[in-house]
Amino acid sequence: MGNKHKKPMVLLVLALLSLALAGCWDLWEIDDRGIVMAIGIEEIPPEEVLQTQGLERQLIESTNERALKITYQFAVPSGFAGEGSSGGPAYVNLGTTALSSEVRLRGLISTQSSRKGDLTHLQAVVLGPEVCKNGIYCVLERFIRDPGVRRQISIFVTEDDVAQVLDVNNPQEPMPALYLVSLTDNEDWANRMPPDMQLGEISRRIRENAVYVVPRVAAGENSLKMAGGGIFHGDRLVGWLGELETNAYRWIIGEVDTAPILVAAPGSKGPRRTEGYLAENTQSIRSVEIVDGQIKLKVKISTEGTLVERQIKEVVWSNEALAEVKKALANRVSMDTKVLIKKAQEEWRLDLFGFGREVEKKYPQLWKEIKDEWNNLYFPGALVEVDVDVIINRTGTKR
Amino acid sequence: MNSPKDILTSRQLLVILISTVIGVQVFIMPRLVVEAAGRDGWLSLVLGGGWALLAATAAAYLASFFPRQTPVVWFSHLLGKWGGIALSLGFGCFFLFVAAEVLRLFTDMTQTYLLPRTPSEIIMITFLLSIAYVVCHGINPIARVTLIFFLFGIIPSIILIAVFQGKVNFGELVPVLAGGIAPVIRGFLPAYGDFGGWGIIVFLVQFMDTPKEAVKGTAVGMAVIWLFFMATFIITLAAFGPIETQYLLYPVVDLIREMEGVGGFIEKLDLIFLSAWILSVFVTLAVCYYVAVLAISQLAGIKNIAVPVYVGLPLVYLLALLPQGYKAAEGLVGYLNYTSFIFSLSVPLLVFLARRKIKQGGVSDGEQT
Amino acid sequence: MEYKAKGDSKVKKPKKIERKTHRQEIYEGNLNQEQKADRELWPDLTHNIAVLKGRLGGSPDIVFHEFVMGVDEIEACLVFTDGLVERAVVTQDILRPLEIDVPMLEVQSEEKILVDIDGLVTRLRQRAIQSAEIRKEKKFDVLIGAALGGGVVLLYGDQEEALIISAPGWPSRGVEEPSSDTLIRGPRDGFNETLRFNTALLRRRIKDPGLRLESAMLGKRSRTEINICYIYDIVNRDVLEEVRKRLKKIDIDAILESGYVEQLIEDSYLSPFPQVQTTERPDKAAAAILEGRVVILIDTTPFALIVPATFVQFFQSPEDYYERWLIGSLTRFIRYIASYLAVFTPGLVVAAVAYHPGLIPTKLTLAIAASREGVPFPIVVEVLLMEAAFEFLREAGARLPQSIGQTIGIVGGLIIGDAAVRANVTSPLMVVMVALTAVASFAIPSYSLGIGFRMLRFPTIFLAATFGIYGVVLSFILINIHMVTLKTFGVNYLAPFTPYQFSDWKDLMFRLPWKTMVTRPVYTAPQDLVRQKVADSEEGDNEQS
Repeated sequence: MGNKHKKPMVLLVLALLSLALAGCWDLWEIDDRGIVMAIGIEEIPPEEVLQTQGLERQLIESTNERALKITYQFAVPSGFAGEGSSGGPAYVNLGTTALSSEVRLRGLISTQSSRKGDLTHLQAVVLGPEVCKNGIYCVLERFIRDPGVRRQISIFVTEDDVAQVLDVNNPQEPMPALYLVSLTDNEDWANRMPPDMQLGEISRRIRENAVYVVPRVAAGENSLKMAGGGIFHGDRLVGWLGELETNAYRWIIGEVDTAPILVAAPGSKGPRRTEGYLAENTQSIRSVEIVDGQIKLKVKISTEGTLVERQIKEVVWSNEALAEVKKALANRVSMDTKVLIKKAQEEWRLDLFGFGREVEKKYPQLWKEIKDEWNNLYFPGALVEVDVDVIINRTGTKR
Repeated sequence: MNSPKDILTSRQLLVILISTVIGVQVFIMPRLVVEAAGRDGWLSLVLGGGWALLAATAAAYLASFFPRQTPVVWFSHLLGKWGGIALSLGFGCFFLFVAAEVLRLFTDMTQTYLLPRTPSEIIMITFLLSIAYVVCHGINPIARVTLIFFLFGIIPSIILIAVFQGKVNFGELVPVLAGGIAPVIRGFLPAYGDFGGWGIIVFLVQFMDTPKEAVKGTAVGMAVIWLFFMATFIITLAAFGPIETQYLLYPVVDLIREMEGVGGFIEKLDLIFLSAWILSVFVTLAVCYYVAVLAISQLAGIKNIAVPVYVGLPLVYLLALLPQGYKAAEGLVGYLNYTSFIFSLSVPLLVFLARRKIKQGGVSDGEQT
Repeated sequence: MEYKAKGDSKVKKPKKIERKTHRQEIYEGNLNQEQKADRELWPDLTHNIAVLKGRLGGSPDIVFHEFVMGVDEIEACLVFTDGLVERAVVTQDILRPLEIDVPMLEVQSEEKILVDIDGLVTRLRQRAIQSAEIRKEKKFDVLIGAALGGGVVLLYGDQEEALIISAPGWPSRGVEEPSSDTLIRGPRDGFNETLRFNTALLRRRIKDPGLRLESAMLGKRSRTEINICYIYDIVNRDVLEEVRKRLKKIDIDAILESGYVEQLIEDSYLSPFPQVQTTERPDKAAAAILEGRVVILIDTTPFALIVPATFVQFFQSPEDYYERWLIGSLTRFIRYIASYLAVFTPGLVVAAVAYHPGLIPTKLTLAIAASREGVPFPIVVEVLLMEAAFEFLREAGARLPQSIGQTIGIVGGLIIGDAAVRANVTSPLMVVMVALTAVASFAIPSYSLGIGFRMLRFPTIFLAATFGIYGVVLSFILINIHMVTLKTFGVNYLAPFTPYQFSDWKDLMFRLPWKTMVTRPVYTAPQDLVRQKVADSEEGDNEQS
């Protein structure tokens, strides 16, 4: 063997090399790419839509599409890498107005950017309140479908101006998009942030018509704040979850990494003194049970952690004092969570916590009958039982 | 010591089998199965994989009756002249279609994730030429190349999926059988079809010096594939849930793209994975095409395989270009699954015939078991 | 060549004829004998001398020393090439005994020693000439060959046979440390240009009677001696037979270096991969022989050839075996990684930067984009430019005297690299990449394989520039298919990697402890597999697969 096959091989190599001269269909150099780091989407209020003229106005009226204001955050690599030396900004925000079909928007932004927009490094999408209220699926669909866009990009909602969120000059992190994403990494230290909500996850929740919480960001002078979240049902924003509510929410869904619990120190007089406890290892099990024909939602939380603060002077712990503190801590958590569940049952009438899935797992036949009325009827009417177990592992450097 | 021409060891057979069956269909497999069977798809996979394992092992057992004889010969021996020709032709055409299908799915996926604007013709031609280059050298270089690509391509893929570190929730698997047994049965065919590549066994055993070992090799290989498919399916379902999985065109690719790497150390694993994936598709396509060409050229009595290899290329190319759009291309998958299932049904019959022939004393071709 | 007449007619044919007649004149100028005169000696000394003189021409370095010996004053003549023989041997050991000692002996013993050639040979051997090698010969061709190859031809009386006394003494290097294949730990001696020294170095290492050397002459004009070395009861007979067959087929005018032979006997001349291993190290050659391979030593070059040479062999360095196994394994593993880096890094960089920035981490993308800011060339051009620049530097440094070579390195590497980045002609990333691939390609012990890898990186770059990562993988696929189909002397090039030979993997990616290396590599199919007998294990369990 050997020789007789040499000819095809040589021909093949030659053919491939000649293709190299003719081809390069997908060649798109990195320096011709406008790397889009973040996108902000906000709906233009109807009164502003009325101000548009010409063909655009006609289009909006004829297609009945929503008019959006999109802010693209492009990375400026030289500003990003050359820290100090060039001193230029690391990003540039370009905004444009158009209909909700984003495909057209990509072309649109290229009318302003010196480089064609490349979405493969998209890190975050910030959604304004209006667009959330009117449904996000038709806005996000384009990203979900794009093979270049990852399912991991983080989605945020804001009550502020989207453009303002994307234009925060933070000296620690020169690029607002990366700043946003880096905030999500802190959720294990800050329990008031809801869990990071990513595009893929949202796509799935929308399809399942589930209820979920998307982190909320607020723009400050040169900083962003991520705390609390927007409650979505399907693809629509239906309410806001406050910061402390988010804390309780995380306790229920069992996503607590480290969470502080503050309780009044037992026996303290005068100005209030507190005990600080940091939950470090928490499990939360949700389950449902049918008791006397009534659905009962059960949350079993068990947590281990450290006492980090005690503002009263009696330093030495007695067993009784410890038990008392433990009880107070448990009460605190169960109170918070009960309040939140009650609010979900009564005010929002939405199963934020995925109890429905527990019903489906345990009583699949029952679930088929009640699933359409779950959020409206069965979830609000269900009994709630919260059981919290607190273990104090360490007490810091003091006794 | 240096292996003479056209001899397969049972280890090589094992590697070829695993690499071939884990082809491209695995990337759409969870979707097809979930579509039919919902959460209980893994039960369909248990059944489909089990059936494929039985069929493949039986086929290896059957082929081991006829050491160093081409299936074309022993098909005729068992089924009469015309029956044998029809079956061989059937196998040849089946694998020709499988090759075309694999090529088409590969091209679609490459265009989706890597080269959106490169013409599909160019991708197909370059890939086919590379395949012809190895296929015309015969089974031995294919086996060797397979081993290399197995080490570089398939094992990393398996490891990647095994150490998957995304958000998975195995609670997605319950409730079991909420919809009764019907969805599981409906999922059987798509689940079985993912193992459809076992048919290569029929044509590969002839190269083995000790065909008896093929039975064990096949069983082990199919079991490995079975486990791998089950793991892939379960992890995909656990990561995406049954509803989202149905909407993902290539759920397994999305699964890999969700991965953060080991401990978030490497940010993106796509590049490694997609490279490994191209290697594994290469092996699948090469083996399927080889078997197709082998079946047809043995039927036609052509000794030198190189000419049919180059003649067949345009055929595969045209067949691959034939379906309009990915939907039509996937429609072909359904037909291939049916065909493969029919083949699997014919195996027990053939085994029965073979045993009877041997009992009757017609042991002239083939040793006793 | 020396007959090439300049300014001749441009027609080819007459020129050829003229050359032939010219040559015949020289041959037959002084004699009118029949054709046989050209082949064998005549019982006529003057005539024989005339024939030799005629054949050898009047070259001043060829000495015809005529003298008389014995009491009978028999005429004799020594023919040798000045500079190729040891002068002291000629005078002290040949002329002195013949002219003085033998006559005295004859006088004393009253016995004619120098009458017939057999007597002469025995006597010379026993008493007179202290040279090790004496042969009788009657063919002119052989005599001439001997006279030109460091032998002394003794024409004597009117005999039909002459004696060839070997007294080689040509200018030669001593045994020095080889400049390629340098090791930190290991013997310091290296082959040199003298075949006999080289065989001696081998013998010194393997004192086994089974070590056989087969001599052959290659090159019609250069008459280079080559020796095929192997151990009789280990070597793979098929390979040996193949080597003999291929060497026999060589019909070339001259062998000036082992590269001639290598390229004439290798399997595929189209392959970028070396299929014959070369070494300057006798220890490496000895190790190869002990593994059942065949070593071809060639006179006038210090480079020995080792066949069959498989891919993995080029990743092995003698030091892997001299150092402890962990170190050996680590370094070898590093070499494999280096080989991938050397071939695929530039292609991967092109693919990642020009096609799939989406598939690399974001911060890395931004860093690359920032470093490419202001560079006027597309990445492919930049990569090619830098790779070409590196090749220029390497070539310039390699051919220059050592002191200037270092300057080139500094000028090229530091000044040009730094200045090019400052001038925005190239990006720092590219300099890093080129340096990385260059260093990686030099981390492979075999220079020729390193060059092969460096060559392969260019098609890879082109494919990457056309198809992105798909192109890189395509290149990987094609390279692998090529290697898989490649054979070297009947052994698969990728053995034992594939065809899978697990028992040989002890010395593949890693070098396992010596205690576990009980067998020789199976894939070279030696006759005797057992390399060592481990005290607590039977011989039987060495045989596997």
